[in-house]
Amino acid sequence: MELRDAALKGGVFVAVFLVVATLTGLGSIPVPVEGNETAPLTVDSHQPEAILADESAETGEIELDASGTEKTVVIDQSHNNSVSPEEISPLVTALTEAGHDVQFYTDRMASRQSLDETLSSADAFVVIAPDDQYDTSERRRIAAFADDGGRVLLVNEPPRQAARGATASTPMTNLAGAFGLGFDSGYLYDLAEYDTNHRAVYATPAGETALTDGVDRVTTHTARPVVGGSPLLVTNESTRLSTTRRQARYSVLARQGNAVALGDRSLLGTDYAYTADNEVLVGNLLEFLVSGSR
Amino acid sequence: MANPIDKHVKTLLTSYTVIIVVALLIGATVGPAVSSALFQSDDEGTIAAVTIQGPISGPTADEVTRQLRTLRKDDSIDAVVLRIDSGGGSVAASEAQYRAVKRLAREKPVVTSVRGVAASGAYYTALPSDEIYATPGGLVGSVGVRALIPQPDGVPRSVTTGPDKAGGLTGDDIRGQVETLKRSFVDSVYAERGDRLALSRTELTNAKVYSGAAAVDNGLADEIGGLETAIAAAAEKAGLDSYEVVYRSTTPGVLSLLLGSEANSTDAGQVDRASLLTTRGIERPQYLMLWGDLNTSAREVRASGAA
Repeated sequence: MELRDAALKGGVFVAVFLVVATLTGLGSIPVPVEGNETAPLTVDSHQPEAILADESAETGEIELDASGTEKTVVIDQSHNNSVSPEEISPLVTALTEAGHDVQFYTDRMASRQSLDETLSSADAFVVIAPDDQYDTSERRRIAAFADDGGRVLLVNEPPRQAARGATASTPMTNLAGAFGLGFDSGYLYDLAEYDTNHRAVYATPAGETALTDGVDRVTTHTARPVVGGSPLLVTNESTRLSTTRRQARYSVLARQGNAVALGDRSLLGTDYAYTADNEVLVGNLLEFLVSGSR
Repeated sequence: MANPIDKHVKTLLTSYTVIIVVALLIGATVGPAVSSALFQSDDEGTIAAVTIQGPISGPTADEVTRQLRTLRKDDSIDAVVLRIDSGGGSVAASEAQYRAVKRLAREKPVVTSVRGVAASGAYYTALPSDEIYATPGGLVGSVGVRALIPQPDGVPRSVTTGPDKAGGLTGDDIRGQVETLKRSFVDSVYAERGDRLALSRTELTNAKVYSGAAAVDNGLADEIGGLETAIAAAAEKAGLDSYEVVYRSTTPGVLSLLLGSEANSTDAGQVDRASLLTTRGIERPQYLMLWGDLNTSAREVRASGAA
């Protein structure tokens, strides 16, 4: 009896095993090779000659006339500015090579010496993408500095997504406002004409000025529109602003008296300073900084 | 003397209940496959509805390619409906799927039904279809590419034989590559959709995702309709008056899970962000045809407005 039972169970087991083995075996049978020759597939939009993008050349040097008198350029770092000497090394190197003095007004320096004292011995003041506001007295002091012949360069850039203070009104706004200048929110892009990436927007001189002398076309990288002042560099008309999607010619560099606003910090960095005529523009900006009347 | 535990285990293993349950499980798993294989209906033709869903990665693309190849070679299949629900994934895998669909579409009618989303790489997959059907609430588009770039600073930690060995892609390199991939995608859309597309190149490269209704209006899709409509359209293209529909999945079924096949890794649920975007412990640039925000610390370069 016990033997029959075991044999029966064994039989059931074997049957199940065979079924499973057969079925799983079926799944492993290769696809029949009959008619396996497949005509080659050529996709035009996959061919290198149709799609390979050219990278923009980086050439030229930042030139700054070294014959003038020695000037002192102060670069603010005391308002949580997202700038370090390494990030703007083309600017710092060109200035120092031409015999000028570059000072970074750091938090540590600010604890020992007021902005007022610092500016009194400076010829130019550079503000790059601050995270902290400039209070009323600081704004008045910087405006007075410009009235007195000092040169002021305000450089801004759009906040990255999820970055702190990603609002339309950034800390730079009220300082720029003191000069009748400002920065729009968002970043510029151009899907019709661009330098490798839609955020690398071309800008050309709006007229003949010292600041755009020798500049044919610059490439901005994720720039922020500048409002107010006299526009010096404007983008193509196919450019759009990310926040409004409005298509227009946007100003990325404008001047108001002794103050200049630039909507693209990356122009001063090693990555982009030498693309297109960017190095000529940077040279002109440096010339502007060291040619004040203080 | 036998150990009581061994005795219990023996009793359990030899019980008819266990044997029958096992047999039932396996039977239920393989039954449908066997029946569809053994009992071909007398209908004039057969349409295969293939589901492609979840993030597109190497393994999922392999499975899609394998399935579509099988259908292409199977003379009993007259037309194929792709039932797509995906926001895309890796560029290379999306390209592989595109090419697999294109090969299939050369030989048999292929119609796509957008189940929920056919965006970015998934839209790329659908492109060679003869027709794309979407419901008004379906989401279609996102023609663009993005790159995620790790941010290495300084000298590579390992000893390398060349400056580019560890990573080596400059910002310019990445932007160039992203632009190249975008051109390929956009050119493919124009090549496949042709006159049906009412969007200009700049409008298309905005990489917007459109509702099914808007997509039909601007030519990214062809008609409003669900799966049944798409199947009927495929039947019509294949000249079938009567037909049966076989459903195929490109994600592993219970059988392959039981067998522990390699295909396990293609389970959509398991292809999470980590495995899609990174190989554990290795940081390298990722080129993606993917719609949606990514919560990652890597820097990102996009070739289009909203990829």
